[in-house]
Formats: sequence, structure tokens, C-alpha cells
Amino acid sequence: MDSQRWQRVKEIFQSALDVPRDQRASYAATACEGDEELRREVLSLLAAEEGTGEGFLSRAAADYVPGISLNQELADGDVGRRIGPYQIVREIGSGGMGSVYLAERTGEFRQQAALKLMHRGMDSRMIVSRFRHERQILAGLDHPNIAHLLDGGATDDGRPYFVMEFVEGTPIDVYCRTHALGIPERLKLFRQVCAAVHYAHQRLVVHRDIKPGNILVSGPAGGHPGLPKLLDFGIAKLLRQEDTEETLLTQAGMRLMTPEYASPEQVKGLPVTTATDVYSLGVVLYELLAERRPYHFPATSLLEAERVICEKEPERPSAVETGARSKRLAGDLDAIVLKALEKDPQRRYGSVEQLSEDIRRHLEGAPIEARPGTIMYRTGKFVRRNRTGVIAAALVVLSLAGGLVAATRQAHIAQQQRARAERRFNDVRQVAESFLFEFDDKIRDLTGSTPARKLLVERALEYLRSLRQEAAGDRGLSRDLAEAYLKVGDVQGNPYVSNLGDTAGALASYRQALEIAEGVAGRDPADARARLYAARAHRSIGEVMAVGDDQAGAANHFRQAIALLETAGDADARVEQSRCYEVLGDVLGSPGLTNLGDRSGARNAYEKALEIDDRLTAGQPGNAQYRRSRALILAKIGNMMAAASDWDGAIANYQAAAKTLEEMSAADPNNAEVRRYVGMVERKLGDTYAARGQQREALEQYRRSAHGSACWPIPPMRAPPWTTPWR
Amino acid sequence: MGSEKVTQLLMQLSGGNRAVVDELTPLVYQELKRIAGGQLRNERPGHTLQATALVHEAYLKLVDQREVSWQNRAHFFGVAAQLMRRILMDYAKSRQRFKRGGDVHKTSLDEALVVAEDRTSDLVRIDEALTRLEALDARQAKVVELRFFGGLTVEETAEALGVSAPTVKREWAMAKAWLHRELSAA
Repeated sequence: MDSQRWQRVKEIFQSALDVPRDQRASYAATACEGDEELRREVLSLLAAEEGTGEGFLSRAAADYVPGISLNQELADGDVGRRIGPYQIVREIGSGGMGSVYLAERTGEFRQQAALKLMHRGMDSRMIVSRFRHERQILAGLDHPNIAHLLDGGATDDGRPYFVMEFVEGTPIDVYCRTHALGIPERLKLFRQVCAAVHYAHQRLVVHRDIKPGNILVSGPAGGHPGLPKLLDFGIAKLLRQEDTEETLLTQAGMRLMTPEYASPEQVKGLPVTTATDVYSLGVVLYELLAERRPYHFPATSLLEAERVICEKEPERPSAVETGARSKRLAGDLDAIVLKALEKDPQRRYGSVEQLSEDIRRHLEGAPIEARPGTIMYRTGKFVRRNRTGVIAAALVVLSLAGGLVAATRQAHIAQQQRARAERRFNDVRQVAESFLFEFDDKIRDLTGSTPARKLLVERALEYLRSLRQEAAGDRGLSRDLAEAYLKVGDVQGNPYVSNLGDTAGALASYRQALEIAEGVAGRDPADARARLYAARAHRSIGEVMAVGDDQAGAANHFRQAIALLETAGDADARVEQSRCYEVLGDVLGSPGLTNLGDRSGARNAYEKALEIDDRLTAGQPGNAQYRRSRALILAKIGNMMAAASDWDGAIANYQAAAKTLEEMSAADPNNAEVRRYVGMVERKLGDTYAARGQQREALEQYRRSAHGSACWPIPPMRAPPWTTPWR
Repeated sequence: MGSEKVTQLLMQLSGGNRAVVDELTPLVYQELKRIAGGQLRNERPGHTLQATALVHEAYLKLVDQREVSWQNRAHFFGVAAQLMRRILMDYAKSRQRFKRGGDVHKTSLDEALVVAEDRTSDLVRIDEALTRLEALDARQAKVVELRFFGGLTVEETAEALGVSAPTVKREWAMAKAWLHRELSAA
């Protein structure tokens, strides 16, 4: 497009923006005066403009690269430094745990090497001691396809480092693509990798982190084909999670590995064996053949990634390809790859050599050993997969609970008397609370517990359905049922806790709870508990809807909840009502979240919440829950003010919020959640000072923010993004 | 360190002497690096400072507050935004390239899934698209650089470019639409 043309497009586009949205297209059509091409260009830009929303480019560029990148990158602090006999020349890669440098050995034998230097915060004593233990073995790995480990130790300031042969090459997947290698060439290259891994396995060294980035291919040169080399053999074992400071690894479930290539046993934290390398090699082979990975993780949760790795069957490589290539992969190669990718280590190839041999047989046209799994074996899979301790425990508890309910029923049939009915209530409450709720609490964060939790929910729903029929007209039981449905709904899909992602199921359960609780409250308007449950159900329905981007529907439910609680006077009801006002404010107009654009409505809702929280904290100044809730509401009101450029008001609110949170943090220094809130409110304060032109104050806040919140900028894992009081 | 010099250069820049940008840039860059290096020595790992915070600190160190005007400040941030873009893109590209790729922990499970996904490749694509936009409309591209890479507000951007705030808003809206279309097309 020439610049004159561009100016014309720009003129019309920018004036169209001043016209109401629904008239823009017709305005543009008129303004283009019959120039069809011009009209198309303007309309396409206007359509793109609608797509940008509030979110597009709303985050700073620095937020696009994760972790500690920026100051790390800026520092270059280690270039030129001497470590042992090595001098660091330049950085060639870096990540969360350390950086890799090109280093040069000084002195008589000049030699280039790759030096991997860990960041501070790893327990160098343990790593170095482990390294001493293993170095003979690792240094003894002498194979043309393995990058040699040369040295290792700790620097003066206590950071562990490893020195390896410097390899210049391309990751194997990129190499295959750029050289457009055919399938036989890819297989031959892959077999060289297998040979190296098998060689190490014979010396009892497991790689543990095989991935294309660790397999570099150099060449081809002078008629010789490319030479693959494996990097970092045995290094993963030296670096263990328990040696790493909490600031580096904040999530308990995190392990040192690359998720795309991690095996089910690694994800579950089970022992790693040579079969683990077989699996990772299977992923690499899959990628080389199908040009994509067997699994794709929606970047939602750790739980989801684990579920995919441990439960999802990969598609056959031939199924993701088309045409001749698909035909080439169907049969043997599908079978070989899937055998390497078996979830159960026992079912994989017994050794890397066997995998390699099967590929050789395929290349030679001989029958292979891998056979596609039979139907029998596939249907039996569920049972086999659930043989973990967690699941076993779940089943035991379930059978106990089954007995409990059976006893409840018998009691009900045999006796109509009050004393028995009383006991039955207690039994139901036990099912609901101790069994469902507490048990779910205990297993929710365990890896691999998803199937058990699903079973729990299924069973719980069965009990509740049958109990509901008996509960007709029984107020106490009905109330308990409503509460139990709320809890089941939470496990299924409450966006605030680790849930099973079953949104539809959660909505259904919440609606059951609502129906039951409203029934009770309708018969007896003075039943405060029933009204509370009905309100809680409305709020939960609204929260699920808000996550599904139905802000208007959500607001409607929040308002109904608030109305239900209007007359209820106890503290629980007021806490709930404050919460309802808060989420109502969020969906109406919280800056940075998807909202209905009703700023003043949002502000009003937050003020209402604050009013309630003020009264609650005045009544019980020491109650941490009330104080925290009040501080977060203050922060949200601060956000509204900042969005309206009322810097003074925003700062006053943020300061009040920060003060409360800091006091709470001082009283309870181990509370990571409060600490994180402190950091975030301080960061908001910094932003606001900066906006008011007070750089010095802003900087002070940023510093405090960085100091106070150890895990910033990692967002809180459990809270859905639209409920956090900051952008 | 260099405070007088930087202040002088900023004043010349505000006076219309664009040539001094070349002289100013390395001074700002060095200061950014120095501050970041200090951060790294003093802080425990995992602590990070925002780009905007770095820029603000560099400003306080390098510029004599009594001497400068609002325009000087905006110009300083303009230079810093350009540097931030360069630094970030160098980093993003090195991350993508992984020439050696030997870092075991390049992507921990945590980083990859819990922290907002690694959007390095998005950033590279935005940068490339922005470079194309520069060829069409240099001013519009500059607005994006200042706002997106430098974290400047609309008003600061307006000062740095010597245009009105409504103009910045209009340019920003169109640039976003254009970039959005470019990125969706690929």
C-alpha cells in the first residue's frame, strides 16, 4: 500500500471510530465514495478493531516472556567471569534454573566448552555431593553420540555448575524439517540416538529429560550424514526438587522436567527407570514422524496436564497425517510409537535396544514385535490405570460409605420415630461433610486423583438422588441435602477451587441445591439457613456463568442472592451478602475483567460490600477472614478510582488495604496468600504513583512489592482471573 | 553517574536536536544494565522487577530532577522504550532459537502451565508485525513501541511524540486493529 492510500484508509477508519458502533459500516461505505477496495480495507480494519477488545496488547511486552528473564537478560553479570579453569565467553541459553554459557578453558589446553551455571537458590552442597558421587560414571560415558561431561562443582558464591562438551548443532526436530528428511532417514537418525541411550542404560545411567532440545544434530558435512549428540546425560538426576528454594519452585506439584516429554510415572512422582527414557524417546519419535506432539495441553492447570499425560490415549501418528505420509505410518510405525508411549512402563519396550531393533525390522520389511493393543486389553485399561494408592484408598472409603447409606436406609424403613430420623440426619451430614468434603480436600492436590474424585462425585450424586425422594417435607434433611449439593457442585466445577472442570454438572448440582433450599425457604420464610443456602446457590451459579462469559446472567443471579439475604441477620448471611456484592461489582464493571461496562453500578456494589465488611470487622476486629475480605474490597474500590484517574482516592484505598494486609502478614508470616496480596496491592500503589508522576514513590512500592511477595509474578492458581482485585 | 550529561542531552533533544539520541541511548542502556545487575546480586532468585520499574529507577539515577521539564522526561522514556523493545526481542529470540538448547529446565512444568503461558512466540510475531507497520506508518508504530514496550501512558506518549493525547488514542486504536488483523491472518 502506498502512503497516500494508507493516509486515506487511516482518515476514514479513524473518523469511523467516532461514529456509534452500529453505524460505522454504513459511514465507511459512504466515505469511501464507491471505491470498493478502499471500503473493504476499512471494513476489515473495523472488524479487527472489534476483535481487539480490552485485552489485546493490554499487558506490557515484558509480561510475554516468563519468569525472571528481564533483569537476568540485562545483567549479563557472568560474562567474562572465571569459574575454575574456565572463562565465560557468552550466554547461549537460559531458563528458570540456570544459564548455559560458551566457556573457554584457559591455560595450556585451550578448549571450548558449554558451562551450565545454576541460579542462586539451589542447594549446591547436596548437588555437588551428588555430582562427586556420580561423576565417575558420568565422565565414563564415552560414546560418539553423547556430549561428554567434563567437569562440575560450585562457584565461590556457592552456585553449582557443570561443564560439558560444546556442541554446535540443531535440535533434531528442526534438523529433520529443515533438511526435509524422508521417513527412512529420520528413522536412521533416531536409531543413532537410541544407540547412545542404550549405551548409557547399560552403564546404569538414565537420562530423564530426553527431548529434541537435548538432541543436537551437527552436519551434514563432506558427504557424511548428520551426527546426533545427546546433551545433559544424567544431569536431571543431580538436580532435585528438594534442593531448590521455595522461591524458585512455588507449586508443590512441580517437578523438574519438561511436561511435553514427561512420562506418567514422572508426573506422578513414581520411580524413574530406563522405561522412562523409552517413553520420552517415543514422544520424540512421534514428533519426528507426525511433525506434532502426541499431546497438547490446554494451558489451564497442572491437574489437566497430569490428566492428559496419565489418562489420554495418544492418537496414532498416521491419524494426524494425511495422504501418502499417513499410509506410510499406518501399521508398523503406529504400533512401534504407541508401544513406546504406553502409560504402564511394563507394557513398553523392555529396553531402548528393543525399540531400536523393531525400527530396524521395519526398515528391512521384517515383521515387527510391537502389536497393536487388542480390544480386551484396551477395555481392561481403566482398572489397571487406577491401581495407585490414592484410588485404592478412595474405593475403600467408598465401600464404607456405601454401608453407611445402606444402614441409613434400613433405619429409615424400620423406624419412623424422631430419634432415628435425627440419627439419619447426622448420617447424611457425615456423608456430605466428612466423606465428600474432607476427603475431597485431602485428595484434591494429589496427582492422579482425578478419577477418584470423579467416582466420589458420581456416588455422592447417586446417594443424594435417592435421599431426596425420602426427604420430601422433611425440613432438616432437605437443608442438609441442599448443602450437600452445593459441595458436590464445588467439586465438579467451582471456579475458586481445584475442580473437575465439569461446568454443566456443577450448574446442575447448584440448581438442585437452589430448588431444594428455595422450597424450604418458601414454606418457612424465617428459615435463615435455607435462605443462606439458596443465596449461596445463586452466587455459585452466577460465578460459573461469569467464567463462561455470561456476565448479564451472572449479575442476575448475584442480585437474587443479595435480595434473599436482605432480611437475614446473622454473620454468615452478611459475609455471604458481602461476597455477593463483590462478585456483582466484578461482573458489572471491574477494570481489566470482562464486564458489563457499568462502572457506577460496580462502584456501588463494592461500596455496599465495604459497608457490610466495615460492620463485621467493627464487631470482631480480630477476625482474619473479615479483615482480608475488607482489604480486598478496598483494593477493588481503589481499582475503580484508578480507572477513573482519581489517583488520590486510589492511593488512599490501596494504602488502607496494604496496611491491613501487612498487619495480617506480620501476624501470620507463613501465610503465602496474604503475602501475595500485600505484594500485589503494593504493585498497584506503585503503578498509581507512577501515573501521578511520583517516580520515587513508585519505585519504593515496586521494590517493596518485589520483596514482599515471594512468588510474584505467578498469579494465584486457585482464583479465576476475573475475580482477582487487580489486573 | 552521567546525570549531568544525560540531563544536557535530554534538553538538547527537547530543543529539536534528534542527533543526540545516538549519544543518549548507550548511556541509558548501561544504566538499565547496571541497575538490573545490582538487582540480581541483592535479590534472591525468583524476584523480578518490572520493565517500567527499571525505567523509572534509571530515570531517577540519570536525570537531574531540578533541571528537567515534563517533555524531557517523556523523551527519556521514549529512548528507554526503544531499548526495552530491543532487549526484550533479543531475549525472546535467543529463547526461541535455543542454539544449543541444552538447558534441562528451560521449561519447567510450573512455568509452562501455571504462569501465563510462555508467549515469547507471540511477542516475536508482534514485533515482526510492528516492523511491517513501521514501513507503512512510522508514527503509529512509535505509539505502539512507547505504549506496549515502554509502558508509557497515553499522556506520556503524546509528550514524547509531540502530539495531542486524542491523536495518540486514535493512532493506538488503529495500530491495534491493524496488528490484530496481521496476527490473526498468519
